Amino acid sequence: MTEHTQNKVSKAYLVLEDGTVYEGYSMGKSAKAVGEVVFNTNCSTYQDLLSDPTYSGQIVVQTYPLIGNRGVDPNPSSKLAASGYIVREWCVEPTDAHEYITLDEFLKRDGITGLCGIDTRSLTRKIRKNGVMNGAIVDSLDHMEELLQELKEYRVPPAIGKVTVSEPVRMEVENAKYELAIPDYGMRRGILQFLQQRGCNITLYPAYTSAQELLKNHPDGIMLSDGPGDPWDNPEIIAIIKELIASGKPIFGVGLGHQLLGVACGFEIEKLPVGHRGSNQPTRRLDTGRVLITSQNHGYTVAKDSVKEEVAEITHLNVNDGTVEGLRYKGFPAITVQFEPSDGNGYQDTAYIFDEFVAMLEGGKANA
Amino acid sequence: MPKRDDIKKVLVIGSGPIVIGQAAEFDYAGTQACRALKEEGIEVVLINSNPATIMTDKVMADHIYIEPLRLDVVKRILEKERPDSVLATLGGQTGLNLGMELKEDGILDRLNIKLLGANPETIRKAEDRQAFKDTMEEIGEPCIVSKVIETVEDALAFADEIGYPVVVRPAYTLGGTGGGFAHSREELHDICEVGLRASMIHQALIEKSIAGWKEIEYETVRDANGNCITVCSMENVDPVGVHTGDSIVVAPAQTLTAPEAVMLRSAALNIVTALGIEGGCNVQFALKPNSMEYAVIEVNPRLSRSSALASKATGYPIAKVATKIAIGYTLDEIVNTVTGNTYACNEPAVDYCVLKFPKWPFDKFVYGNRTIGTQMKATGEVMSIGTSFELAFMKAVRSIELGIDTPNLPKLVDLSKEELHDMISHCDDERIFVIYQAMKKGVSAEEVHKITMIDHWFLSKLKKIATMEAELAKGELTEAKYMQAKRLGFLDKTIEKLSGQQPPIHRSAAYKMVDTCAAEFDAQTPYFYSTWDDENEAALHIAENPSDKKTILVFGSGPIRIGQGIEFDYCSVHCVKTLKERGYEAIIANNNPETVSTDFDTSDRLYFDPLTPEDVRSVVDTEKPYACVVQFGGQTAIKLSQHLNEMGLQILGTPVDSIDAAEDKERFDELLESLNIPRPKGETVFTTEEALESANRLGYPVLLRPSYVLGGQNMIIAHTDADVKEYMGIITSHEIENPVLIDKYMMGTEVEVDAICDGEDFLIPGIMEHVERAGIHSGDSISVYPSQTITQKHKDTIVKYTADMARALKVVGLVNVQYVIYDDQVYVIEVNPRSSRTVPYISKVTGVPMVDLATRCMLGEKLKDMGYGTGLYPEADYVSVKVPVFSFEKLKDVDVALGPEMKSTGEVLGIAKTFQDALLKGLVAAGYKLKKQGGVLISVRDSDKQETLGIADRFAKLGFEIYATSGTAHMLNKNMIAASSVRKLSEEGPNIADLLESGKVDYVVSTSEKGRLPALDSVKLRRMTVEHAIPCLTALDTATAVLSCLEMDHTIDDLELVDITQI
Repeated sequence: MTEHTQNKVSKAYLVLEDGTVYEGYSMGKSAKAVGEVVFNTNCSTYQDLLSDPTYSGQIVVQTYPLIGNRGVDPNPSSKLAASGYIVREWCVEPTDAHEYITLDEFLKRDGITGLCGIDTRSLTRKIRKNGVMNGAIVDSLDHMEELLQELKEYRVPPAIGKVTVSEPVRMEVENAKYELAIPDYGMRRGILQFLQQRGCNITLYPAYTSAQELLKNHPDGIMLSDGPGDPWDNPEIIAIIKELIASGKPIFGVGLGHQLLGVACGFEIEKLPVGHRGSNQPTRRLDTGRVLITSQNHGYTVAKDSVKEEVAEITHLNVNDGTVEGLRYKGFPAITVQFEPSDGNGYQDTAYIFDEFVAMLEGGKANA
Repeated sequence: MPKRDDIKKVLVIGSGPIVIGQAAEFDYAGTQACRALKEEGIEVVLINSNPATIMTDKVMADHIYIEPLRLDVVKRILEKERPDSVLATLGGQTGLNLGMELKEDGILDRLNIKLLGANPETIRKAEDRQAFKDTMEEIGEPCIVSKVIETVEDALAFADEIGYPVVVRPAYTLGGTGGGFAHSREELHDICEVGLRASMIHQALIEKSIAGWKEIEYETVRDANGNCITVCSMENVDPVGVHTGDSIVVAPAQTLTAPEAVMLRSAALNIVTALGIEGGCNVQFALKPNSMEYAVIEVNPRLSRSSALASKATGYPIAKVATKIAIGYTLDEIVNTVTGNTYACNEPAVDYCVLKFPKWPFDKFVYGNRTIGTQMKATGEVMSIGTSFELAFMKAVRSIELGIDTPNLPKLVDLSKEELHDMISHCDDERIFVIYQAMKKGVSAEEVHKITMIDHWFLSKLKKIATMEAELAKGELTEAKYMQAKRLGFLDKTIEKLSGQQPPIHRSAAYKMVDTCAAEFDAQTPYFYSTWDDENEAALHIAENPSDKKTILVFGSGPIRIGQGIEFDYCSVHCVKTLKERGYEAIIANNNPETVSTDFDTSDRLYFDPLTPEDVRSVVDTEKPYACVVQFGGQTAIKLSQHLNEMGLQILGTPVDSIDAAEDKERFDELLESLNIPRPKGETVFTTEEALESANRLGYPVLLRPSYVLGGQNMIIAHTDADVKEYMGIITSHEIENPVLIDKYMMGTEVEVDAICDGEDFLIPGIMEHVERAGIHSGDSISVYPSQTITQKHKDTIVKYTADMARALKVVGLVNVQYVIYDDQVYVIEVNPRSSRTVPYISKVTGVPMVDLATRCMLGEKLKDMGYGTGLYPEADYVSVKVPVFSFEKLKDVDVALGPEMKSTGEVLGIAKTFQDALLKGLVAAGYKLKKQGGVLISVRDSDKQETLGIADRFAKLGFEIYATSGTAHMLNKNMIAASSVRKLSEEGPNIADLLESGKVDYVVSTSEKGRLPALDSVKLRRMTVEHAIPCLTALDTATAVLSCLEMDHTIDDLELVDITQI
């Protein structure tokens, strides 16, 4: 049995832009990492979270203190996206030690900087009170002034270009009924199976593919995927989306895609104080009154007051803070949701959205 | 959907007496339910036979019936009160069953009464084995594959189909006899043959074995709109096979992969949706490691022990939410009172590890069979919260009242690696400690896993604690090492002992908040646990919410165990209530998740942590309270007194020294002598030889007990030298530092009083008399208030003695005194300057709010200003009889004979105009069916034979067939009472066993010469009686009491049902 323990590794620090320092131990790759510090409240998901492209440019804090108990699959389906990762305690001896590697080994191998051994609850409380802050994981506290200046100036860099597919990817299913074009803004692939199960052939395109190119093969519908960052960072994409709207093709938007379509239609975007990150976000479906437990991971939201009644109808609201969670557009066939309808906990509540979209595809075909 | 407007008056059904498997958690649930209903302006009618509960307090409901929980009684209450609805899902299985019976009876439809929170169809689907299986099949949820078979051939064929190993469960056998695991055709053949023979209906269930699978539970809540959440996942450290009530449980589940967690959560929600649950529901799964294969074990469509645990583990008030759902609210309409700004539809997120550790009664039942399995044996539990598993585990270990600070059980530390290795496969209450010790001695985690199938993750955590122990023992103690040890849950005391070093720094614990949301939202409700971080949220909370009120810390009573039950929680909760009313901030420290005291809105601040001196010191460091209260938290809190004194913290009420003066025999004797109060003669001894000498000097029978006891622990009445030898053998093996007391045993009338004292005046709400003569623990006696046979002269004496002792002991608050009246003289047996078991019930039946008055006395008020007078309070118009309730059927090998050691787990109360009627109600409430015909088996010790004649004669006159063992039969026949002689168990058949089996016996009267050894004939006879569910009367006075009820010409149907808010 390996006898290495967490305390034998070197010290490391989290420095926040307001000058707060948390002292802990280095985990994963030992290198400076800068990012927007955000927390996630999910207890059992860690590997999937690290590979979620929406975390690009962010340092993720896991509020649950004991992480990596089952080890990490050494062959993940997608590469890691987060800039840094903070946990209170990672598991030195995971349950499935024989099949899996430890979180530390995994982060080291994939070059992600981590920090452990800090009071993650205190950090979470700080973020909750102050709103999201920039921070850096460093292994020394030298040159603090420069670091703080860097943190003040830091903005999550537009990352879509980094996380999108480099060339079109085609995925076919047996007995396909529909063709879908999806510009990939940095989506988690898990969602695709829900569309495939419903008879969709899918073509993923690089994010900046033109509308003409996306529409060239006459898809039955378009999906605007989730992805990282501030929607305003993407004027070119917004322009493309405007053209897609004009095509009259059914559109399904998720996460960033939901926000981008809103921007394209003139709605405002607000930054949430701390964001919604976790698998327990209650979301009310306004047509039935049902509350869906949804997985979410976003820092921006479509401003409720800016949603013009004649353009779109609000279909979902967050029960806790009343923010917009879903829209149905009126002038053209489109539905969008802010949450992750395919994700982990709660998918059985939210999977109906795929059926709605498929019904729109069917309707589109009938009208064609 | 808003509240239904057709609900104005609701009957809430409680769970009755505390028994193993149904404990204080239902008082917690019921209390929350009553509060939630009253909050909505709904009139609440309550029935619960258990007088020790908080829910039966006058403020909790508008009409309260402490009456037997039986269909006929509840029907009469419905007729009388005419509620529009019944809420039955908060009273455990008892409540649920009654709800179903009411539905089936038709009375609900006849009176147009709604059954809330429990659609009968839902309950049937969940509770009926076949209906449940069918429902699960319909929605594609896997159950454990099984089949009922009647021949060995069918069994073999089925096993071939599903694969080995399989479990054989013969139908209708006692305690699962004849069943077992079969790993091959040969084994199955043999087991089946035996099993089918053992089955009364020649039937057995063949079930796929899921031994070694993980046991995972989900607590869910669903509303009428179909909104559905999981409150919490829980994982049993012990794999499938150990009852979840007897398992060490962690929350949230720790060893699931994300896909496994999603799969089981989805399955849980599927199931509660398919069943149409409206309220809380517990779903239990078995999960095959590393396979994504699972099976549904069972669901509980009601509030349960697990839901209480999940509520405390997350801060999410399931009982309250379930009640609101029952009256029409949906999850998105119910505000989460912890955060104040989120709703009940927000699934709790936790950021700590919770651990539940069961409390078993084997320290009391030294001969009890300690094996744990599918039959729950724990009487209570503790919960602990930590930022790591290790911290939570170490906290639990020192909370469980085994006298240990680390997982080192003294009796195991000297065993060899091999001995320990061999013990691992035996699953009993101490197995986790065996595993710890074995790993310390070098048995590998891999090996332990192979034997127990306990997940590696848990074992590696135990290993980590063991490694730290070894590290500390090396001697060197750096600040880093010290802090590491603290974070793994080591006490300073232990660190010092292991390392031989003083801690390099002094650290107090920092407190984190339980807030349902992992700090995502700002929480309002202060519920804290200790960690070894820097940020102290409790201190911040206090600073952010400044108050000019003085703070008083109230200690709870820890886990429910025999001798220290729910009564002490009642007292703590009332003390807090009074403190708040009198303008103080009241803080609670406790570790029991089943209680009202640990509900986050009971106190101003709650510290959910162990109750050891060091843990308490940290609370004091953060709270800096003005004073504290120990006298309501049972022995757990009393034990802290000395340490609190040393810390310089003021203890309100009776001085600490008085507790010692009452418990130290010599000092107590001196005190009594100075007051001229007699007590039974007694001596103090240390060795077996001294004990024998002393016993012979005093003359048998004598009472032996260690000093400092609670619940008559390790106390016996010795009739012979042999008894003394057996007893001293046990005591000396227990490493008890205190001396043993030997008293002359006086078989007189036992009397008990509780008094409130302010230092000058005193108030005795009432004098209680025991039905059984002295020698049976007061907790196990049938007790009546007001006393029935005590003369005025003796009453005066009792009042005077009580007052004299209270003054001499400077009692401020409560004091409990037990007397025996023998040969027309009153003797003091013991004095306890603290709250007692009888306080809740006496408060309720006399109308004197004892804890309230006692607390006010402790705050300096005077009794004469409180409006209840002083001296002996006038007797009530109603007679109340308290009847103990036992859990013997669940505790194999425990002798059911009553004695000075307490054995009951709970109690019920009967209230009526006369003693006889109250006794009848009490016995019925305790579960006596009081059959008026049939057979009685009598087997008594020689000293009881003469007195038995009258009893046998009365049974005979009622038309009972009398059976007796040869000696007793001979004596009865000689006295012209017809009795059939029955062969003893040890004799060849047909003997007593066959007679009991035949169903001809409806009562057994059995008193035995001596001994609790399970191998004794008399003990075996009593065990068999209990296992056949035949009332076993082990004291002649109890038999007489039962007889007097059988001789009555009326039944419970003829008795008035008493609303105690009206008396």
